[in-house]
Amino acid sequence: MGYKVTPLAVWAYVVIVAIVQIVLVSYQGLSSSLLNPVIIVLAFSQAAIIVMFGLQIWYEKPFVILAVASAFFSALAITLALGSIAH
Amino acid sequence: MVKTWIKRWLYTTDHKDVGILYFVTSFYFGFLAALLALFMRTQLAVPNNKFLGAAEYNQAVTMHGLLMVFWFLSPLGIAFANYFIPPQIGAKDLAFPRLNALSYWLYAFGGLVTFIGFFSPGGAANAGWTNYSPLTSIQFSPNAGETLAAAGLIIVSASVTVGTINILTTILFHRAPGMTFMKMPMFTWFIFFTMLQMLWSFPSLLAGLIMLESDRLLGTMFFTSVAGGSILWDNVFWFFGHPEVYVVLLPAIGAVMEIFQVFSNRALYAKKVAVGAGFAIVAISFMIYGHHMFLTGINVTEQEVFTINTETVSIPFGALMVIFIATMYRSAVKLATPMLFGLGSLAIFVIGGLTGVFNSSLALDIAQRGTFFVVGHFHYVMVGASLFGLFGATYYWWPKMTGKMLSESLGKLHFTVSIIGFNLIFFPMFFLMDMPRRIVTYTADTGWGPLNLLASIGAYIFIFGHIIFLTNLLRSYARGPPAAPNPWNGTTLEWTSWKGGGPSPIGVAASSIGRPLLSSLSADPHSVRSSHETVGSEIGHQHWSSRPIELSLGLAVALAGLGFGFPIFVLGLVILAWALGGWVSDDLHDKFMVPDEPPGNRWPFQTTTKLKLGMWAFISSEFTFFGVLLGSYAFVRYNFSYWPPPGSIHNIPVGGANTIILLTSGLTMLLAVQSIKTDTIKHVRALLGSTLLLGTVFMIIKGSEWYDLLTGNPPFTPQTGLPGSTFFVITGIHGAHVIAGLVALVYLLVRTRNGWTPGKRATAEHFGLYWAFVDMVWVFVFPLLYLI
Repeated sequence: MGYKVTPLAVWAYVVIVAIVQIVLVSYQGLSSSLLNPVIIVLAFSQAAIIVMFGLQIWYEKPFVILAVASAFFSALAITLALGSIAH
Repeated sequence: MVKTWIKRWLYTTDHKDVGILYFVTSFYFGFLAALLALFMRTQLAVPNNKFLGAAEYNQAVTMHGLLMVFWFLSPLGIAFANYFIPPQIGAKDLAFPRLNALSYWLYAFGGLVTFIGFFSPGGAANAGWTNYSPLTSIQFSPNAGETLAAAGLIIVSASVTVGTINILTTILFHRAPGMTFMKMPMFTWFIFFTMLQMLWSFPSLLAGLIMLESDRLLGTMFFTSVAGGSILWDNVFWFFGHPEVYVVLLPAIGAVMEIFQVFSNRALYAKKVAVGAGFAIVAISFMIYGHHMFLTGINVTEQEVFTINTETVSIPFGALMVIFIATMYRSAVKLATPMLFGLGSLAIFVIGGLTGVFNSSLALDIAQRGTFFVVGHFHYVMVGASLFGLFGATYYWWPKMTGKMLSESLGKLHFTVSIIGFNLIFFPMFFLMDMPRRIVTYTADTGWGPLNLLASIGAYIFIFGHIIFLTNLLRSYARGPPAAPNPWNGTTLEWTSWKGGGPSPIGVAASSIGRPLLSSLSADPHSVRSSHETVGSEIGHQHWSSRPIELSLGLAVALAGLGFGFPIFVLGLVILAWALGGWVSDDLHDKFMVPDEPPGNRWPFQTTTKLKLGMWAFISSEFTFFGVLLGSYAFVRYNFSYWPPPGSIHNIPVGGANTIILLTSGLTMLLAVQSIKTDTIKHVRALLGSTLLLGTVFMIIKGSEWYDLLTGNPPFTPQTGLPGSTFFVITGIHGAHVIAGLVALVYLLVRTRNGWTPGKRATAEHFGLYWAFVDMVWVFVFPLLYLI
């Protein structure tokens, strides 16, 4: 059953992070300028874990090129859109 | 006989047939686009002309641009890619023949849906091919034509996604033994670059079009909002739009590289540099689109960055020009028709490129923006350079496609008339830098009359050139002289097989010009040849499939229903469901079988299956698609002064619980994938069933959330400002992905009811990738929409 440890660990991590995100939001003492980046960073960490194991990047090294390129272009789209705001 | 002929062209999945279909259809749409251009030039020939009214002129401008870019120039390159990529790399066919046919039929029906707008109330789309907001809003374009154009573009985006995945997988997975990356022909290389650009640029257009249709049909306000809606469209469109310039151009450059090598009788100078330049163009093309937005109010720092990036892209293109010239240097250049068009393409591109450098300058761009100078520039780059290159490709490969030669004298006449006509149209536009584009007429005192008249005369000359071209094609097809197997002494593998007088041995092809290019491909060159020589006998009726055309028809009718009404939409859905059912049934009964390719050069994917590679390419495009959607969300959040605080609209505990349910379905899917190789089928099916159950529960809870919001007091709907627009569209699109996954899970469970085969295992494993991706998207959607 050792091979099933990884899926369980992945699941445990993403679920715990989701719960942490909810708890953080419900804690009124944190300002949104601090809270929002933390929540987004946590979301990225969940996504990274899923990409590595769910999308099998961890086992298929050549796909790293595709994954990095895809992540680069989607991040670029978001960044440029955010920067291109009329002032 | 006739019935068989018709069935062949409707049901074929053979890459050569599909290539010919693309070729003929793209010229058909090109003819329509040219006709519209002729109308425009007739209108602008003299001041105060009334040949076209303002409404007709706007429709002509818009549809000319759309048809030229999406249905003529780009697909013409794809036609040659379809036909020649497999033989160039030593493959039998494309990786997924049925998807190849699907890609073609989506393209063809997408064009019809767009063009049919002319016959709808209010006429065709009229907001320009760039679909600038708010011109495309229901307020300024209430006509069905605009909706139909967006629908047609959605269909063609789907076609591009399917086609791109197919060609990329083919190049990466089906290269013959010995066909290393650096031995790939330059046309294949430049199609590879084109596919990478399409893979990551078209999803941005698709996301934008879905938001646009949502604005027009559901009353959302992505692009109509005063909080930067029109700038949002500019970002989304040009993130696609600038790479699209190179999508149109690169296949032509690749074809011209083949032509230059053959007619200069010399291998390409600095091939590695050319390949490096191609990669550089792909990367930089995504980072320069902002130069289309210099006047939209983007901040100065960004303007400077985009100026620098735009000027940077001239470096790899400059390198390519040097390579072209160096390849010809001191060689005995043979000025046959393909080479003349190749040289014409090069010369036109240099003019277009140089005028592009002017436009990249922030100061000059501000002066030239929206004038005929820009029209001249982009026609030199997008139309002239690519069209002349692709004409060259037609003259070069026609003998291989038909087994007959084209007339050289007519070809040279075509070139002469075309190069004169083209320059007469567009060169005067560089002197019309004070004349705004997209105006229906002008007064005589502007002084624009003589140059416009010159351009219009050029248009008629250019059209005459194409009549010569068409005459040449028809004459050759009917009674042209038979072509030798390798009439140009081509050095690439496509010249060694099937048509053009039958296969010719590789050794002869290589040695005939004294360059052992082909024989260097493999220690045993016959192993390369044998992998595709059997194409003719193997492609038979068992490779026909009616499903691609049925499915495309269903999607086209359904999306045409967005413009023509609900009954048409429902009819389309019925056809679509029937076609999908048929496709699944064919699979379940193994009615469509394609023999596996023999193992070839698959570096660096030796241990990967082609389905996984295809799925990965698809997910890669989906990254951009959701990246653009979520980027748009971030954009409007940043711009919108008020946003409901977390928990005020959405129920965080319910959303959180639903998130955990979806993530748990990811666990059962992952366990199923891991269990495939070791556990019993019963165990795996139980895990797949659990995934299906959890996914269904997720959708039920999501549906109940939607119901509560829509029927609440006050209701929260897609029309409830940007918060409503973003929530319903993003969760709706994600939900559609989940539903597609659930349907696939049902299919998987049905398919595995009688036991496992390696193919079924692989299907389950690859589906696991898709489900993980759906999970991954949600880990962004949940915090962005519920928690922030």
